[in-house]
Amino acid sequence: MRNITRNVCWLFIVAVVSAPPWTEFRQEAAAADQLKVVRAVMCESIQQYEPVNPAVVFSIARSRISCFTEFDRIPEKTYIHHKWYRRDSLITVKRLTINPPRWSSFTSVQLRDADKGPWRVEITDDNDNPLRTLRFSITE
Amino acid sequence: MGPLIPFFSGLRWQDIVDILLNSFILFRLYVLFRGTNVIRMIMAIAMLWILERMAVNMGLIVTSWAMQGIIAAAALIVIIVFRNEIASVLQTRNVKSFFWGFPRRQIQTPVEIIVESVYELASRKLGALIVLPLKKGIESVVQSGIPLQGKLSREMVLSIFWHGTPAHDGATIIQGDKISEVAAILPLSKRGDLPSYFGTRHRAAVGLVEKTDALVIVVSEERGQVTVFKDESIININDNIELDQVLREHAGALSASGGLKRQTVELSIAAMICLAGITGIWLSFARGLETLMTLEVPVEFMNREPKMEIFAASASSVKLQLSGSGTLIKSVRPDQVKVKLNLANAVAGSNQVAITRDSIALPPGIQLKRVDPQALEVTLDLPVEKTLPVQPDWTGKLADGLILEDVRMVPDKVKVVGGSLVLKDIQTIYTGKIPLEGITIGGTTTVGVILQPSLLKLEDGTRNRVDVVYKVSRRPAGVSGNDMTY
Repeated sequence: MRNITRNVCWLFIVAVVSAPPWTEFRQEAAAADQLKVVRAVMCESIQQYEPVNPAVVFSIARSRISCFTEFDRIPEKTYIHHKWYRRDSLITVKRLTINPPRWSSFTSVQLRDADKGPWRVEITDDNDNPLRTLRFSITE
Repeated sequence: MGPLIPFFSGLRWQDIVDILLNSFILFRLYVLFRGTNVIRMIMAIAMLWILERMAVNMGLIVTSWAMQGIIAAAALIVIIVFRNEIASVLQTRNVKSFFWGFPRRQIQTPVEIIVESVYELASRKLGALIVLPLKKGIESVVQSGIPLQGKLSREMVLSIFWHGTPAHDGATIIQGDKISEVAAILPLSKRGDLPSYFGTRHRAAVGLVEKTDALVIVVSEERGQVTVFKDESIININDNIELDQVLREHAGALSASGGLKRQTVELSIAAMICLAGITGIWLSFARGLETLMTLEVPVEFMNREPKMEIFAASASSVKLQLSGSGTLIKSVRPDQVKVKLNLANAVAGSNQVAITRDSIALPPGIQLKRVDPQALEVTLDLPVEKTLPVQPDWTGKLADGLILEDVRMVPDKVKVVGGSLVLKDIQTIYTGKIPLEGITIGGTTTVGVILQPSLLKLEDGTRNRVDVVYKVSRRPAGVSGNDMTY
C-alpha cells in the first residue's frame, strides 16, 4: 500500500515537472489571438479600400492626407485609435471599429497652411497599447 | 557744530568701533616709531598724500600723477633706506609693547657714572667713543654694532675700552642707564676744517652729530683729552665738573621732571590727531555725497537638494542699485557684491524665489536701494535619461511627379538627458530642416538633431548627427491622390 502511494506521488511530480507551464501556454494562445497590424501607411488618398501613393512627405497642396491601417487575427469586434500629432501636440484622436477576422480602416485630416512640419500618427488598441507609429512631414 | 550733525547721524556702533580701532592702530604706530627718522618720513608722505588729494580735487592732472609717483617712490625708499631702523624698532619691542604701554625715554641717565668712567679712561689714556642719543633715532646711521643691553657701570665702560678687548674699537651707545650697543661703526665726517690732531674717533663723532641730535664723547688715546661733540659745537672738556654740566644739559631736555609731563602732552596731542585723522578719513569715505550705481551681479544658487538640478532660471543675473559715498562706490568691485539664493525649500518644478536683502552681500558702507527683478523663477528637476525616436523634419517642395515613399534614420533613436518634467512631454527628437529641393532619386544625407528645449543634452558620447536614408519613386501615371473615393 505504501509503495502504491509513493509511486502515485512520484508520477504526479514527474507529470507536473515535465508538463509545459500553464502560463506559457496561455501566452502562446494569446499571441495567436493577438491583434496584428498587417499594413499601416500614410497615403494621399484611399481608392477601392486601398491606399494611394503611400509616402512620408506630403505637400500642403494635397489638402488632405490619410492614415490607412489593415489588421489581421482580430479575435472579436474591438476598437483601435488613430492619434494624430503635429510635433508632440495631439491634434485629433479618431476611434475606429474593426471586426474579425481581418479588417481595414483609415482616417483622414484636412490640411491647413499652418500644418506644415513633422507629424506622427500613433495607432493604439482599445486599451491604449501602441501598435504602430507612422512618421511623416507636411511641406510646401 | 550744526553742519556736522548730518555727518554723524545714523552712526552705527560698528562705525564707532571702526574709527576707534584704526585710531588706536595709528597711535600705536606713532608710539613705536616716534623719535625715529621713519616717523618723520611717514609724516612727509602723509603731507604729500594730502597735497595729492588737493591736486585731484583742483583738477591738476599732472600734479596729481606726479604726487602719486613720488608717494609710491617715497614709500619704497623709506622701507629700503630705513630698514635697519624699522627692524631695530620691531626687534627690540616685545609683543605687549606693540599694543600697550609707552617706551619711557625719561630713564635717568646716570651722568655721574659716565663722568667717572670717562675720566678714568682719560687718566689711563684709553681711547673711547661714547654716544648718547637724544630724540632722533641713530639706527639708520650707525652700523654693525653688537647689541649688549647691559647695565651701565664704570667697570663695564672700562672693560669695553680696555686695550685689546674685542669691543674696544668702535663706539659704545648708552641709552638711559643701559649700554645698548658696543663696537658700533659711525659715519665719518667729510669736513676739511677739522683740527689736524683729530683722529678717526673725532671724525666719526663729527660725522654722527652732523646727522643726529646725539651727544658724542671722545677720549683721545694719545693725549687723554676729553672732547664732547654736540650739533655743530666741539667742546674740549677740562675737568669732570664741566663734563657733568654738559651731560646734564644734554639729558636735561628730557630727564627733568617736566619731561614726563611734556611727553604726556605730546602723546595726548598725537592721540587726538590720530583720532581726528581717522575720523576725517572715515567721514570722507562713508559720509560723502551719496552716489548711486547700478551693478549687474550673477546669481549664485545654494543649498539645492543634491539630486536636483537647475534646469532653468528666469534670469542668471540681477540688477542691484547701490548707494554710498562716491569714494566707496568707486571702490566697489563686482566680486565684492554677491547674490546668493537659498534653494533649500525649492521643489521639483517651477519655484518663485524672492531676492531678499539677506541674500545680498555688500561691502561695508554700501546700501541697497533696489533689486531688479525682485524674484526669480527657478526650475528644478531630477535629471533622467530617455531614449527617443528621431524624426526627419523635411522642408521645401519635392519635385512634381516624385514621391518620397520611405525614410530610415541611422540611428533611429537617441539617448537624451534632461529634467524628468521636461522629458515627460517629449516623445520625439527632430532633425534640423532637410530641404527637399534637389532630391530626384533616393540617397543618404547627414543632418544634426535639434534639442528643444535647449535644456536637453545628448548622452555623453552620442553623436549629434544622424544619417537619413530615403527612397524616392515616380508617381504612377494616371493615379491622382486627390481622387478619393470611399
